Amino acid sequence: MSGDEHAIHSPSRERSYVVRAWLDRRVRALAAGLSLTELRAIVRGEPPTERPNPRYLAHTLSLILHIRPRYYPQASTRFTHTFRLGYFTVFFFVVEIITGLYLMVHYVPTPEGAYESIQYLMRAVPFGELVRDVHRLAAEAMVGCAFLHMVRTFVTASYKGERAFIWLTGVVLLALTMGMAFSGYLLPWDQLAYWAVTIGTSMAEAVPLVGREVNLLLRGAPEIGGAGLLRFYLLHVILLPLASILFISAHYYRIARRCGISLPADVEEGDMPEALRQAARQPVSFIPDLLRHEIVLASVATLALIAASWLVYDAPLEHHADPRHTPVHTQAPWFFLWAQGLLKLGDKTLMGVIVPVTLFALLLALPYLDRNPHRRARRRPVILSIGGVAILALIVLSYVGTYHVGIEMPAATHIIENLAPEEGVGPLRALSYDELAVGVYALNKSDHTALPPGLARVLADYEHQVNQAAAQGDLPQARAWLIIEERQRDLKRVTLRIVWFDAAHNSNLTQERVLHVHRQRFGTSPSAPESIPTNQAASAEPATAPTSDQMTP
Amino acid sequence: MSRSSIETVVGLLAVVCSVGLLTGVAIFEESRMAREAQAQRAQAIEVGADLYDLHCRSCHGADGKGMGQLGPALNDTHFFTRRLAEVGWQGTLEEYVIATIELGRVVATRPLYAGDGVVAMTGWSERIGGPLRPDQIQDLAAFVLNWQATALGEFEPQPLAIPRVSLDDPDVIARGQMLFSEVGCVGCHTVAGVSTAEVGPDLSQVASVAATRRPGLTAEEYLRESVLIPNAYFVEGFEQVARSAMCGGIVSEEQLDALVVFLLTLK
Repeated sequence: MSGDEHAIHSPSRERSYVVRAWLDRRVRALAAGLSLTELRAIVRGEPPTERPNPRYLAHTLSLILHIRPRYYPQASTRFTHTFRLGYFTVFFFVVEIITGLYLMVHYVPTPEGAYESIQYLMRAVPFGELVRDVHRLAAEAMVGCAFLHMVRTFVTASYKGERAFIWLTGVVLLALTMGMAFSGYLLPWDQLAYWAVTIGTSMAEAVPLVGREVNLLLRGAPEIGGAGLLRFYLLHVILLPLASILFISAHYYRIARRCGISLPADVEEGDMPEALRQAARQPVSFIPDLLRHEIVLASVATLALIAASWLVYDAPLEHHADPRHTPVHTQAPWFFLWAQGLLKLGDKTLMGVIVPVTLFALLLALPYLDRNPHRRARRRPVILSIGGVAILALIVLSYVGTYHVGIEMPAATHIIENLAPEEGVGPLRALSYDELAVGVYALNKSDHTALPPGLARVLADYEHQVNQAAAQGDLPQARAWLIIEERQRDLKRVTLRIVWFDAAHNSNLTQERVLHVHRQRFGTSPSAPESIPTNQAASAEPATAPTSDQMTP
Repeated sequence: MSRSSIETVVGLLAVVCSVGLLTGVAIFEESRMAREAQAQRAQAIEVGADLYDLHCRSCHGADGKGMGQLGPALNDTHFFTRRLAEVGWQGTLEEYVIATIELGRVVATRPLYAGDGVVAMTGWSERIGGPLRPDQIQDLAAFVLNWQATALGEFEPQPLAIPRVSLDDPDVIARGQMLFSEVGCVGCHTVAGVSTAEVGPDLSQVASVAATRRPGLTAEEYLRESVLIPNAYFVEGFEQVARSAMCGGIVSEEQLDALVVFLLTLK
């Protein structure tokens, strides 16, 4: 005590004390009550330096931390209990907000400007492509994590009792997440987006009594156009994110203030020695242990997102949206394929509205329908079986929703779409420009052996598919050509033409696709050709132009 | 090492790697953007070529060399070197092409071509009721401008070895006769054994007189021209009919070949 008095009376010590006190006040103000000494102890993994524990005080003073629990029971922090799926969902949401702001600066929400603004973003904005890729990838990851988080909560029965409210907000958050992903899907205004959203919103029309009004409200007009795009944009950047922030806050706050994260069921109900049970319930402070853990997870996930977006993942951008041309393959985004599958199975009102709404209502009501008080899996065989069947049904329905199922396509269209799809690359476009040697190649007649290997492979594949369809009777008397012409400098015109005899009309039918290929379509360095299975050796004979075929549309 | 230390190290490593990756992205960003711009231009040319074939080739020709008197050549030196000065255009050639496609050509600027007294080329922009969006018009302009190298003689496309349609190929003659009915020629012209209409000239022996109609044109050239531009030459007594004929340029090149081959058999 006397030493302190001496220090205060020394002018230099007094100044130092004043400075430290000032610094301490500033640091405490910024760090939600944590002093400099306390922060140092946190970094070094040392116990709290003051009583009461200032690390808990942060949860009272900090806006963000007050919705986090002060500590967790040790068992509920096990990685295999939660797989951090809820945390990752929120992490991806934050990534979406940050990257979304960057994209918003350049995006123009009009049918005339939207596509061009995405192209501009990719060709003229530094980091534009990376940010777009990260935004898209994180969105898909967010939908995946939100869904898996719900499955985990269901399997561990963490929705019972006072956690019912958390489950309810979680179901709403899953719907909001899908809404954000779906509304964002339209914004690039390309063919993929336009037609996927056209299918999605067509369900709104089937709502009984008010279908027309709901559809108009969503699209702003009978068809998706400028008004619809603006509505989807505003939903995507304002309404749905704000609602999500509100529900995420309620979701978190309830956990922090009411019941904490659930314990693993075997800790709560299992026949575990008391010592182990106590160890499982031992508190683990949020600050610093879990906070550090979450920061590390965020760093690793950020690295993974950047690396994947730069090296592997490219957000798709197809041709400009064209309301007058429906693509051959029209498919909903993967997280809505189950709904498309449902639509294929029956009536639009029943399968498109009544069934999904009922499923959503059942999901919301789950805590109140499942009155079984137990949490361990072996004591919940019925509900887990129902859940398993539901997930299986979701997977099957998603498969039914893909264009592989239930869509009849003429054999010739199918072959041409395989070789040169309307959207995307396909084996033919994947060939390098120089491999597309000018010429008329008649299948089963031309000699392909002297051709560039890539072109010979594509021709062999083409020949195999046409011959197979002819053998199966789908293309009787089939003849097919591949014609490559030089049109301009660095531009070639490639024609795929299949002619077959149609007994019903007693005439020849022709299916044709013309595509133009520019040398620099992949930029200066063309991407590597896709590997194409070679089924048989090409055969030979000079080509004849099919000019005299009777063309029937 | 304790778990917390391992976590800290992993986190720091992740941060360092992220910064490293972003630095890598930053270093290559300029060249990536240049590549992307090139790829987008190339894709615009590809889309423009498809649109050209759909909307423009019937008047300007598949190779851009013009189509009779229907439409002027775009793939020629004059267009790339003197056209802007000729019309007094202050902007770039690309802007000129875009403006022309958007708004059309209300009056012909070259008397040689169609449009003398009527609209030579309608506007194609959806803004004024046409079928094309602004991005499609830009793609078309990119394609048209890509003819520069060919037009200026810097590049010659490798010709495709397609045998010319044989004038006595029975399949082609049959197809021409079928087209004569399908595209509506039978509505105006008489051909013995095929049609009996009397609105337009009788074509039963057109092959015999075709070579004498227009000085300097062979029978084949005269017939091609007549199908493309009915009012290029007036058969006596049918002036009014020819002026109001709406059938010019309604056939594709391939159909034109077949029609001409068929008409050449009418002796």
